[in-house]
Amino acid sequence: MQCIVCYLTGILTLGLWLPATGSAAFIPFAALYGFASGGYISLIPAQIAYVSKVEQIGLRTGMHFAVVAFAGLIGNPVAGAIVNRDHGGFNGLQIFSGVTLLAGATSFVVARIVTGGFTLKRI
Amino acid sequence: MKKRGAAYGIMAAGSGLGGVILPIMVSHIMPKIGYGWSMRVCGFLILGLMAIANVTVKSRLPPRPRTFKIAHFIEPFTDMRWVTITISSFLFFMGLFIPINFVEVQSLAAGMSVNLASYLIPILNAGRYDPSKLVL
Repeated sequence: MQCIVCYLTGILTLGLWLPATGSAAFIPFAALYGFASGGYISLIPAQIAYVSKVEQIGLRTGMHFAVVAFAGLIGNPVAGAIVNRDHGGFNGLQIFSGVTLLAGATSFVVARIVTGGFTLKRI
Repeated sequence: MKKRGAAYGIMAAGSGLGGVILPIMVSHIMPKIGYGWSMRVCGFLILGLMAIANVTVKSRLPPRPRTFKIAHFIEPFTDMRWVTITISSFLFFMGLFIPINFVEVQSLAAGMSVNLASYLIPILNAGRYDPSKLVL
């Protein structure tokens, strides 16, 4: 499920935000992006809980977010620098965002295979 | 125990509600009382609500103190499942906040009216109503 919402987030960014020109496209993008990214946020603790023993869940969730926070720290200045380099154009930023999202989604597929093999059924 | 799912849902919906209300509130009171006081109003609002939460919430199980061992913090890195999830999350996080932070600026640059663009973030947060309820 995580793989699906993550791909949805990346595809929305590249497919809806990148060609968007007017409010008719921005408003659905905002709503759908909120839905997809909210799905990611609420699924992460469940995923970690699944691969951990009960007494490890707290520490592992904490460690996970401690590592991941650095990515949030890096991402936005990079995006701002891309906008500057494009002299205020936003296409580079949208492509950067969409590609990192899709890379993350693909990596989640790898994580799924490491955890449960190639089966499609619930693990 | 039976109502845990519902309680969790209400909590998650509450965080979405805050994301809807606060941006609208700030954009309306900012012209009246200035930037400094709008931030202070937000601060006091959170202080008041957190005071209620801190007084009323108590933990279901008594805390069990554990000895601090550095090995506990290294142990997750030996589990391939945790490592792959963390790498995926790392990549995903790098792109996750970019649209949230830039959609408003970008839509203004693309010619959207200021009035409508300031409601994009509330719309985005409204989309956050706990989709995990649907999919888990």
